[in-house]
Amino acid sequence: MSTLAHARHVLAENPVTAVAFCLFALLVAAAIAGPSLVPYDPLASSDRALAPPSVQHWFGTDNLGRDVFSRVVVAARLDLGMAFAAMAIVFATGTVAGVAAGFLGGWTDRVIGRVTDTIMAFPLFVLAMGLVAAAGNTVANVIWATAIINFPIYARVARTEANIRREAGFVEAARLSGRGTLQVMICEILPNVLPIMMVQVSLTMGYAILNTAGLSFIGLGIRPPTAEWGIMVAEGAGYIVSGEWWIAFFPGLALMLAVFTFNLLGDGLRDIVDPRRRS
Amino acid sequence: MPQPPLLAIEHLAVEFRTRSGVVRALENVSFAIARGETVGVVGESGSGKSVTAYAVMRLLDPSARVTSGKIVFGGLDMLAADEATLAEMRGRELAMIFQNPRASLNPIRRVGDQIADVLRRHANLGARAAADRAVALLAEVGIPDPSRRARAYPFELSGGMCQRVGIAIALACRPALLIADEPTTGLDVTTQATIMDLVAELGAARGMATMLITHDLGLATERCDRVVVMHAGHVVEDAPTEALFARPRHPYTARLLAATPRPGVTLAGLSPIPGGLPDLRRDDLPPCRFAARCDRRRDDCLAGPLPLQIEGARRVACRHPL
Amino acid sequence: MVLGLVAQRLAAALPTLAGVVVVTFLLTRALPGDPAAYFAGPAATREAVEEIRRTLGLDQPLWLQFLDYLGDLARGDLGISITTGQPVLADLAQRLPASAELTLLGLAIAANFGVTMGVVAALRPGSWVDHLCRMIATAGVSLPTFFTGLLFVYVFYYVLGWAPAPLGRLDAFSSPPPHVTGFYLIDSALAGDGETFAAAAAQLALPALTLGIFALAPIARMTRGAMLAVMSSDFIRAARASGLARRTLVLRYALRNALLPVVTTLGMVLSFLLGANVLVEKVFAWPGIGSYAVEALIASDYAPVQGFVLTMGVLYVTLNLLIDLAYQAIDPRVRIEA
Repeated sequence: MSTLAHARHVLAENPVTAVAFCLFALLVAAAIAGPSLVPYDPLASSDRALAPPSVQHWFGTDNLGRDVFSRVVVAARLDLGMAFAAMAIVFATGTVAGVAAGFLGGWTDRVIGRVTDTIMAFPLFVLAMGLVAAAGNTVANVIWATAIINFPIYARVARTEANIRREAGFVEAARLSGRGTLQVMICEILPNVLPIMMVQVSLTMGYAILNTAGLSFIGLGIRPPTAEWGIMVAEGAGYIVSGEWWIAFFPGLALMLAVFTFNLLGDGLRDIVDPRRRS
Repeated sequence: MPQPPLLAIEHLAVEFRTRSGVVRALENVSFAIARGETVGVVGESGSGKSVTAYAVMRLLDPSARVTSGKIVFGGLDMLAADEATLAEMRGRELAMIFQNPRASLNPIRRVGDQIADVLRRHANLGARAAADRAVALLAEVGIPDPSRRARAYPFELSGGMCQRVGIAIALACRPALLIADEPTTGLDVTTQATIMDLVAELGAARGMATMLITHDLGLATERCDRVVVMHAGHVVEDAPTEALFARPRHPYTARLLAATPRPGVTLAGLSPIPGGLPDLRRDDLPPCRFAARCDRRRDDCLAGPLPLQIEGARRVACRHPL
Repeated sequence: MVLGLVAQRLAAALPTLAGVVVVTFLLTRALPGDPAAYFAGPAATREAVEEIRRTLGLDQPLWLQFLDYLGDLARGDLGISITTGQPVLADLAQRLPASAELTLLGLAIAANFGVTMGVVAALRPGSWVDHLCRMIATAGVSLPTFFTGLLFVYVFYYVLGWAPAPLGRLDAFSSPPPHVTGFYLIDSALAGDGETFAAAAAQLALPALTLGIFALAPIARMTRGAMLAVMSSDFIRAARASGLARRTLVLRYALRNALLPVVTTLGMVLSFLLGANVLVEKVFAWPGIGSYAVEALIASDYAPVQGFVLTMGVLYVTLNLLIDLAYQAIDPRVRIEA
């Protein structure tokens, strides 16, 4: 059964995954086309500050009179973009490191193991804070920090997969046909490990979004007046006690939706790629 | 005047609801076990022997349904009894030992404590008394240095010793019936013999009846007073051991005997049974489920319900017995 | 023999601890930019920066700096906070009980409700508890902690008025009980001060609940999964065949076995919890080490941040060690085969 047909079959069986795909499409659409489609300029303040949700302003306005809906939609690009960038980095580095550790063993395995253990010795969010604090409070550093704290899990998954395949028949065949170790690693192991790593990306994308939003909530990375979900929640936090709930609520809801979508997507992808691991 | 049987299974039918359909695991299963009698239930894997045992204990999976029939144990209608009554019976009047002895014990609890748990539950013993009695039981089942071994965990014991512990637990309250579900399949040959000897000896001493479930016809004929042969959820033959061995009447029994290793016969001398068990999910299952594999099949074998031929102490479910 | 095992585990934790120390050292010294400027703060003059460089020995080779660092750590010198003017260690020690009380309470809530919910969901598949459990398990992983906290404040403080204003550990009218442990609940109980106890508990309710819900999801999910697996295992069936009472079966036989995998996930739960602690402290203006670090971070005051990361690292390694030992205590197979 081809992958596409199998994918269609799983989606048909599992409407929840189909819903997740739709939501994912919606999020990506918001990220790409959002800024050109929103009714108001996300950075433009007005004198209608702290207005509750209404027909003109679906999500209300914040303390500077900016339209919350426009800001939430536009922020999708930044939140998803940052998480995606972090995932891309860790996907590349983690996969290579893990495969090297699992396939080559010995010193490579020990060194990479030591690195991952050291990262995991800290509560991950705290380490991210420390990394950003040390390297400088910029968006790029937030992305790097998120990538670093996700590195261990990728390296570990890749290592396990490489380990399993190390003794596989096709690897032996490649070795016997005279291909060098590096070649075998790149041409045989890596392509086989990639689908599972893709699933891992989806599963941890949600966590990456929460992480970057959490860091910006405490003031790291994104600065005002940029529209980003975490910082919007932080800005709206002070107004909760006086009852203006919409400023923090809608960006928070968007965060939840995005994370939820990626979690469901990850589960669905896992079912497609490896039905044995169905939960 | 003959006593009523200890266990009477009458026309039992059990179905399992699975994703791929309804499995008719048992159909019209009937046999009885008298007090003190050892009955072997023999068949290939998938014949329904374990399902019958679990049905008697009322320990079937939630996906199972008893669609008809009756199970009467010691006068109690097991299918109508409530959970509280059943929990009283289990461990006290009827008990079970299992195929994988170590997996049937709580891995993180000392074996002495596990025996004591059953004693405190059914025999109303206090902690101290139960612990002492547990050690005594371990000695009875032939475990050396029982007071030390009582503090051992299952993973510290060999398979044979774990099965002895299982026997100790099962026999702790002197049940009237012991169901042994492939008790020696997972053990090596020497241990098999000693375990079976132990069960026979303890059973005889207590007048306990035993239902020995096994795929090994040789083992059954060695240890049992009577053998019930099952195939694909049906009872095909039910006879005293010697009679069955000397002169099998059902074609399946004959083929089973021919396939059973015995002294004097080389491997080449054994003949396998052709075909395999029918798919029990089909709703067009014939009344005789062996017919498709039988070389004595005649045209009228598939027509109408299967008659039960009764000859003295033997019952055969075949239209044209040997 | 038990001591030997403990010593063995301790020895295994030492390299990890060493890693923590090295990383926190590198975080401040081996990064782009001028470490002296970091420690001097944004408002420092050129001379002040040079002064700091000399005082902290930042002009020395890296390995010498590391030795100095180790010496400082041994003396308990984590630097001085620019914003408070106090030694960082003193600040951390003073604020740690607040964080500890909050996190422990959150963990207690999560463990209790999570395990109970997981057990009930496993015993009654398809029931409303089962569905609730699965919903919480999925939603709990998706919800940002700071968002849940704010939602709670809105609903329980603003709308319903049940909870007090999120202004810290005590309201404006109460004063802290005499210091014994630093845990207000314990200290006020020890002093027999019912009013302060109630006030402290009221302030603790929402933030602890926020943390609790966050950690509840993985615990409930793990317990449910583990219980389901255990309940369908051979030894449970055998135990039922012995007629053991349902209570004994579920609690003494099933749950104890199911808790083993749950304990192994506690390490990961703690990692999330300690991170979420920082966010919750910010939302509820809780005077713990998390908000201390955040405030210092915003003010570009880096010594407290480094001290905070180091403390959290050491704490986390220690807690993981305790979890490991607890697991060994529960599972005899690990204990005896080791």
